[in-house]
Amino acid sequence: MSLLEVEHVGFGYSRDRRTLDDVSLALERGSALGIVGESGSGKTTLLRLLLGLNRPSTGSIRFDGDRLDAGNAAFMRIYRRKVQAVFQDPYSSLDPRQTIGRIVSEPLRALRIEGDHRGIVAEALTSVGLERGIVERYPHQFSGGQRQRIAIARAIVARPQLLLADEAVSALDLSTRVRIVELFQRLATQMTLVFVSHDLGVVAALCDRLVILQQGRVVEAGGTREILSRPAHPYTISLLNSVPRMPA
Amino acid sequence: MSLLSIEHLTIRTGAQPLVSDLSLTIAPGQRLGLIGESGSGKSLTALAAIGLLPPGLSAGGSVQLAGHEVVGTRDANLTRLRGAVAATVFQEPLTALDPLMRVRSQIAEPLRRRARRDGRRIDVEREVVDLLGLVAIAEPERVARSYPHEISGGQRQRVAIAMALACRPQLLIADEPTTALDVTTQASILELLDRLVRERNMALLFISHDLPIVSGIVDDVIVLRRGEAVERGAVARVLTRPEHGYTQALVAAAHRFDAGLERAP
Repeated sequence: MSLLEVEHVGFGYSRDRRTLDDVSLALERGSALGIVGESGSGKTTLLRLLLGLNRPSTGSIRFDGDRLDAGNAAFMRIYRRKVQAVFQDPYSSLDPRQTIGRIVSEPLRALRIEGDHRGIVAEALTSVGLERGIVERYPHQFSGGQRQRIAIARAIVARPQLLLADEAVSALDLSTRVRIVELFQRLATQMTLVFVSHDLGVVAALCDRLVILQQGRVVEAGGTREILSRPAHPYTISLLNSVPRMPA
Repeated sequence: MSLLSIEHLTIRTGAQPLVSDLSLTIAPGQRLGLIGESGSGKSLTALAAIGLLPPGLSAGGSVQLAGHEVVGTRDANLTRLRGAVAATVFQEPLTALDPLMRVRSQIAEPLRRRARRDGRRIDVEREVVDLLGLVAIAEPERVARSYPHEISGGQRQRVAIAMALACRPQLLIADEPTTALDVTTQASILELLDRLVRERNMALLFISHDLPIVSGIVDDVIVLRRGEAVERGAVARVLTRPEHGYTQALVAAAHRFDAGLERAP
């Protein structure tokens, strides 16, 4: 059984426009899936559905065989423990008035996870390459890359099975981006990853599976290697040809 | 004579230097790239070049546009140079365009200014449509009648380029002109800039954090780090045989994301 199954999902924010149209995909445990699309492709909307922030108007999403039910508070509490997210902007995703310790331990409190929170937080910080001693400090004392590490520490502190990342390295400088992608690569060996991005280069470096979205529809899906070496859909081909390359 | 000559430029906020002792020149027809990450001072350098530094920042050293000193010159005396010598395209076309003005009126403004400058009469309506055609907008009449929010991001950037060209500048300054755009749109805007700069024999100062993009459009490049030029040279050499440690790290990082795409056709 796949960890995540999206079946014929449709969604529209307004009645006259479909943002997602008949989207299906399956995600195996331990794999890293890249969802690639340009603006308006529906990639962020799909991620919102996976998080239970919106409900599909048609079709269904299953996690570990259970149908995702955004209206069921008991289900969602268990779901949030298993599925966590990291977003694009490390400046707006951390509460500036909270210490790093409070921020990273928030899921532990929200999910009422018992145990030595200090120790769990320290472990999460260490695993994203931060000092455990930063718990008393505040977000403004950290750079963009460090903030994204803090956001990732918060996402993994409750040991989720699935990590969802929405353009999680797009706002970072190139040299920082490389290091955060390396961090995601390491995390991908411990959990299942869905990485939403417009950047094919980053996704190619990180994901073994690939879904290409265009205007709310899946135009191509499969192994990253296969798709990049033999793109079948004209849109995938134009996307690939548009990426500027380094001189050899 | 150089179109742009920057000598020992230092930009400060209070005592803190944001750009330190930067020198560069751009000759007619030359294409120079400024590469840098956030905080490198690349955009401030572009603003200083046309005398548009935000309040609170002070420039030292010398910036000359076609032989005219920019540093310390009153704004009223700079408007003649802006447009005629250098025009700028910024990253975000939505903020560069006036949301309350139709595209036609926005492009007409620099056209009229140029006509006054040259002391001749022009058919503004026709020139607006011609310019929109030049930047490869498919339905120039419709877009001319539109407000910025009614057209796509790519079209907005084309309009911003048309406005810059309306002044017939000798030097085009493009500050991250494709960073806010989708990758397929980006490719077509880069192609457009490349063609226009060639056809009109303009010089280009191209500012970007993106190494592969810069490599495709300029001849020479300066790498900025925290306001200091750490390396300069022909772009082909700098991006294939970087000498400074910082450039080497940037190039290696860019190759990391290029490598996964190598299998592509």
